[in-house]
Amino acid sequence: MKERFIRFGILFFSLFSNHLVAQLDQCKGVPIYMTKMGFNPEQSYISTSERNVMGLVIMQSDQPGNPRAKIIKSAQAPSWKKWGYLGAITTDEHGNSYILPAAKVNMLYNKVEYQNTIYKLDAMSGELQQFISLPMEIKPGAKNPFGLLGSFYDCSNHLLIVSTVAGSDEKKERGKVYIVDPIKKTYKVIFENKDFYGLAVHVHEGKKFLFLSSARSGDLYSVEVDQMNQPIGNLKKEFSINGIGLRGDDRIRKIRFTGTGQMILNTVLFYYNLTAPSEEQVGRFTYQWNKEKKTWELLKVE
Amino acid sequence: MSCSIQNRTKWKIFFSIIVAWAFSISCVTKSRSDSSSENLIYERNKEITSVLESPYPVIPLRQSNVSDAEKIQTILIKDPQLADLYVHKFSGGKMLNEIFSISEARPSDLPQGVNVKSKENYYRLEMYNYALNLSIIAIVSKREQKVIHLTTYKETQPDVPPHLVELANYIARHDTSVIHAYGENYEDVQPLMPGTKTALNRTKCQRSKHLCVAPTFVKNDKALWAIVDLTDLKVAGIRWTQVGETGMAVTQRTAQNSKVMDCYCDIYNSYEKDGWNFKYTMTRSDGLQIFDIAYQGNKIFNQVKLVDWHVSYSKTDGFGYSDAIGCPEFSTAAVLAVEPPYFEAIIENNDTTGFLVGQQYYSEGWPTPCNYNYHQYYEFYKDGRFRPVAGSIGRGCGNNGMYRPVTRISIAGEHNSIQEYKDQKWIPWKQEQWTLQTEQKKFDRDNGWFKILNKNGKGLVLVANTGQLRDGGRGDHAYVYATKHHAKVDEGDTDLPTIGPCCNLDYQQGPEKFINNESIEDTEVVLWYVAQVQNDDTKGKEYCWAESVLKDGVFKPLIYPCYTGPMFKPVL
Repeated sequence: MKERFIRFGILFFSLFSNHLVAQLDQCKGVPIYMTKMGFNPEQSYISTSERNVMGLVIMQSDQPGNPRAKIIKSAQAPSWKKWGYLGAITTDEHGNSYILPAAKVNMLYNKVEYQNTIYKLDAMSGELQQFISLPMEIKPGAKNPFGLLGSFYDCSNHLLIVSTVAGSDEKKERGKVYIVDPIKKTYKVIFENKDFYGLAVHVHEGKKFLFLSSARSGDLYSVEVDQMNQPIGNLKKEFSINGIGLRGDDRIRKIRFTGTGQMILNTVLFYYNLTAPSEEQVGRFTYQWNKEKKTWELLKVE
Repeated sequence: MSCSIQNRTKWKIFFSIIVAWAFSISCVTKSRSDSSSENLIYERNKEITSVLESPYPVIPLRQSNVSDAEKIQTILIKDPQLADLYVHKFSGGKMLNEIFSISEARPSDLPQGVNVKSKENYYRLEMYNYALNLSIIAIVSKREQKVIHLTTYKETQPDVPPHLVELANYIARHDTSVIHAYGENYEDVQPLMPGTKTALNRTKCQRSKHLCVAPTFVKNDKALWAIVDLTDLKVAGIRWTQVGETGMAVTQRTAQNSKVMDCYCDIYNSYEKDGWNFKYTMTRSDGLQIFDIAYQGNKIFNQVKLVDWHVSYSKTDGFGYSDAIGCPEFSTAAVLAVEPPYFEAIIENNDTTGFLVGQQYYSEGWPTPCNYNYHQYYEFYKDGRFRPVAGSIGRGCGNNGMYRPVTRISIAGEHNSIQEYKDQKWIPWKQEQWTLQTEQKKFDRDNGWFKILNKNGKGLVLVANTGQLRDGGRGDHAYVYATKHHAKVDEGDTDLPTIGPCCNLDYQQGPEKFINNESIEDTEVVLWYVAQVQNDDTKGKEYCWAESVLKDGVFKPLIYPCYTGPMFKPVL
C-alpha cells in the first residue's frame, strides 16, 4: 500500500509539475528466486545476451553496473533455456520479469509460433513460463524471423507495453504495439502497421509521452498518452540518428531517460536478419533536452 | 526498385522490359575500372610504395596555405609518439599514414595551460592511419619544434584534402559500374560536392572500415552516389536516390544491400551458355539457388542449393554454430551475401572448359576471429559435367573447427533410381538412406561413387571428392543421403530454416529428418551432400583459414580456402 502511494506521488508530481523526471519503469522489485539460488540480489542481474549462452542466465558481478566487472558466478535454471534465444527484459515492482523471445544466430531453438509470446520469470519460483501469446496474422518466417522486439513496464499503472514486427517484410510493415495488462492478462493494440523497436514512457514537462523507435530506420517518435498509456495525440518524429555514429545505420533498440533531462539511446545493427556470433555492433547515443529550443540535442556518441 | 526478369504473365514481361531498361545497368554483376583510369591510380600507388620504403610512412600534405607547412609536418612526422602508427607491433609491417590538413590552431584547439596569446606559434594537423582506420589530431609548436599535444580517435576519419577529392572523383568517373549506371552523356557531368566527406554526407564504409567519399552525379531528378573506397582505390558501391530525398543514409552497406535485395533476392534471373541454361536466385537462408538446370535441352536438376553450414569446435563440448547464408536483409541468414553473384570462366590447362556462377557470404568483421566467410559456386562444363562447390574461407572461432556444409540436390526426372559402388559392384538403393565416405572406401574408376539413372539407363555419375579436383580441396569425407522427392509435401523445395545443430559428429546433420524408409526406386529423388572438413592454422598447411596481413600499408585478408563438393558426370 505504501509502495503504491509513493508511486502515485511520483506520477502526480511528474504530471503536475514542470520538472523532468526519470522514466516510469524504475520500480524493479527484488526477486526472491535470486536468494533461493544463492545469489546476492544486490550484485546480481539476469541477462539474455551472454555470448555462447542460449536463453536466460543469472550473473553475480563484483561491481554491479560495470559491464567489464569480474563475474563471480553464474547459473541457468532448466526452464531458462527451454525457449531458445531470448531478448528484451523488463521487471515489475514484485520482481517478476517479462522476457521477449529473440531471433539470433539461427532458428533451431526458437519456434516461430512463439515469436510473439511474452515469457514471465516468476519472482518467487524463478520458473520461466509462457505468459501471453499475442496474435499474429502472418507467422515469422524466412523473410522475417522476428516477432516481439521491445518492452517497457510502466510502474505508474502496472501496464506492460510491447512492440512486435511479426509478419512484416521488406515491402510491408505489419508491426504492432500492444498495451498488456499482466494482472488481467489482457492486451490491446495501440499502433498497427508500423514496425517499432524500442519503447519508453516518460513524463516530460507535465505530460506523459510514449517514445518509440523505428525498427526500419534511425527515427525516434513520440506520442502523448493518457494515464493508461492510450495515445491522445499524433505520432511525432522527434529526430533521426541516420548517418550518425560509427556505422550510421543503427536502429534504436532501447530508450532510457535520466533524471537530469538526458535521453540515452542504445542502438544496434538491425536489418531483419540473423546475426553471426561475434557481431556485437552496438552503440550508445546521449541526447540532452534543450528547454529553450525545445529540441533534443546530441551530446555524445559512444 | 525491381530488377526482375521473371516472366510469368504478359504484363510482367512488359513491365520487366521497362524496368530492365531502366535499371539493368544498375544490376551489372561486376564493376571493373577501364584501362584509361590507370594514371591517377598508378601515381597514387607509386607514391604509396615510395612512402612505405621510408622510415616514416606518411604522405605529407603537398598543398597548404600555411607557411613552413613542410617544416611543421616534419616535426609531427618525426615525433617518436607516432612510432606505433608506423610499424605494426606484431608483424613489423609498415602502416600507411597521410596528413590531411594543417592550419593555425584556434584557441579551442589548444590544450589547457598553453598560452593562448602566442597562438600563431601553434598548428593543428590532422593525420589519418589507413591500416588502423584511426585519426590523429596533433598540435605542433613551430617555435619549440615539438608536438605539444596528440590525440587519436579510433574509427574516425578527418575531412579529406583536395587531392583525395580529385582522386575519388577520378576513380568514380572511370568505374564501369558508375558509367553504366549513369548512362548517356556521362562524360559531360561533373560530380556534385565530391569533396564532402562521406561521414558528413551521411555515408560510411561500415563493412570495410575504410576511408570512403561519395562523389554524387545528378541526372534529372535523381542522384547517383558512387561510394569510393580511398583505401582500396575502388568503387565500393553505387546507389540512386531522388534528389533532395531524406531518409536512410547512402553508405557502403545500404548500397551493397540494395543491389543484392533489388536484383537477386527472390528475383529469378536466367543464364545460358555452353549448352547449359538455368535460373538463379538468392534465397533467404539457402544461399544462391539454381533451378531448372538443363544441358543441351535436357533438364538435369530441378534445384540445387546450400542449406546450412554447421561448424563445431570441439568433439566433447558441443560448442559451435549453425549458420544459414542468404539475403542481407529480411532473411534468416546469419552470414550474408553482400555482393552480387558473379560469372567466371573455368580454365584448365590453358583451355576454357566451362564457366561458373559464384557467390560469397561474409559476416562483418571477417577475417578477425569468430567471423565467417563462405564461398559457394556452381561449375558448368562444356562436356556436361556439373559441380556444386561449397567453401569456407575461415576464420571462425578456433583452429579446431570442423565445417559441414549441407547441399541439397534435387534431381530432375520422375523415374530415377540410385546405385552405390560398393564391394566392386553397383548396388541399388531401394529405400531412403545415407552413407559415409570413409578413408577405406573404394570407388569405381574415376572415383565413381553413385549412379542416378532413369529407366533408359541415362543420368549421372556422382564422382567422390578425394582431393583430386581442381580447387586444392583435400577430400570431403562426405555423408550422402538420398530421399524421395514429394511434389506436394515440402521437404526443402522452399527455403529451409537451419535444419541441423552445429555439433553433431555423426550423420545427424539435418537431412536424416527426411529419411523414413520410403522407396526411392523409379521415382523422384533428392540427394543431400554433407562434406566434412577440418580447419588448420599450422604454418604452411593452412586450410579453411584466413589472416589479416599488412600489404601496401593496409590490412588485407590472406586466405586459405577449403573447397568441397562432388562432381556430376553425365551418363549419356
